[in-house]
Amino acid sequence: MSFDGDGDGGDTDEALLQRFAAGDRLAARALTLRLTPRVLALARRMLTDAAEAEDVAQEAMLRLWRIAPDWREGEAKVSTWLHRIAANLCIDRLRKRRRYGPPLDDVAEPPDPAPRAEATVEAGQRAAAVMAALGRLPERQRIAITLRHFEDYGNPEIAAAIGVSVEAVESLLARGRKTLARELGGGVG
Amino acid sequence: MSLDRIETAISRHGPALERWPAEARAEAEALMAAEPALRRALDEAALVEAALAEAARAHEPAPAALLERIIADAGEVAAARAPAARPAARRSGFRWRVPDFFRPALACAASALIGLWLGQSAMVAQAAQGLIAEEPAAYSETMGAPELAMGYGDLSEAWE
Repeated sequence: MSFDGDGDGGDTDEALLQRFAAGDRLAARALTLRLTPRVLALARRMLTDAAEAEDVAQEAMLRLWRIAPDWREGEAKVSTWLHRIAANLCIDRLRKRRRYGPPLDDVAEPPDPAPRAEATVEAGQRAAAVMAALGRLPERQRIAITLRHFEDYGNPEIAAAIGVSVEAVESLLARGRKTLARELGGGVG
Repeated sequence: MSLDRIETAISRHGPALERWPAEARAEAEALMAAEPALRRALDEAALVEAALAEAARAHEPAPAALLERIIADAGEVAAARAPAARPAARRSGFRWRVPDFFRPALACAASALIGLWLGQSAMVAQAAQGLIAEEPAAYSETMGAPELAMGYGDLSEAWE
């Protein structure tokens, strides 16, 4: 199967979803090609596990297909809805992981890494470096940073999603940011 | 405002000082003028935000196998939905509702009735033919065919 171009004719996500609900399977293909990479990227950031991230992306898209006939135009953006679903699926999986592993709060956070010698990273490599640094953050810092900086969640929404106070989210963001700054060679602490 | 409070304010409002509420901004600016280390916290946050924004723009492509699985899921969901749509369309008109278990019995009864009717018709036809053979005049009088033919005959003569 070729995945070159989604052939959506410039339709919005909502229009494509309505076309799919009306029986147009090409619309499903176009939506898949358009939405999956970002959903997958979100899941990869949150879970740091490629196979689990694929499962989450597939499950989120499946829920989109199922909700299609009941989708009401103007109520929400398809991409926003989909990312919320994916984020919740990731959080559920992280909770399950925690159930079978040590409680999160008992896991000692890694010591602050020493500032890297390379103060500057090539632009093309920076994204990969950021992703690697993000993946090394403690779980809740990683989720807080991901939801805030990649998904545009507000702090109260993050707090509700991961079940902590808003003040705790602010602290998670501050700690995560400091660690990332050090990892990226620009830390000041 | 201590470093901790600056960090919290950055978590709340972001690293762009100009977007902070006026009161918090004024307080932070006064403190940063006295203690330059506090400004470095803002610079650090701005660096991280820029790096994360750059990372957000670059995503790896999704594997083709995953895309195929998702498209196949869409097909299955659409196929599962399709049969449900057909009975809904039929519901709009009047429809006999016969229980499934009763249908074979109904079919047998219908066949028997048709057979009976055909048999009866054949018997009636046979009896009628017998009557015609015995009394041809009676047939003519009953059906009126000879009179009709004569009438037409008269008309054709008039045309000529």
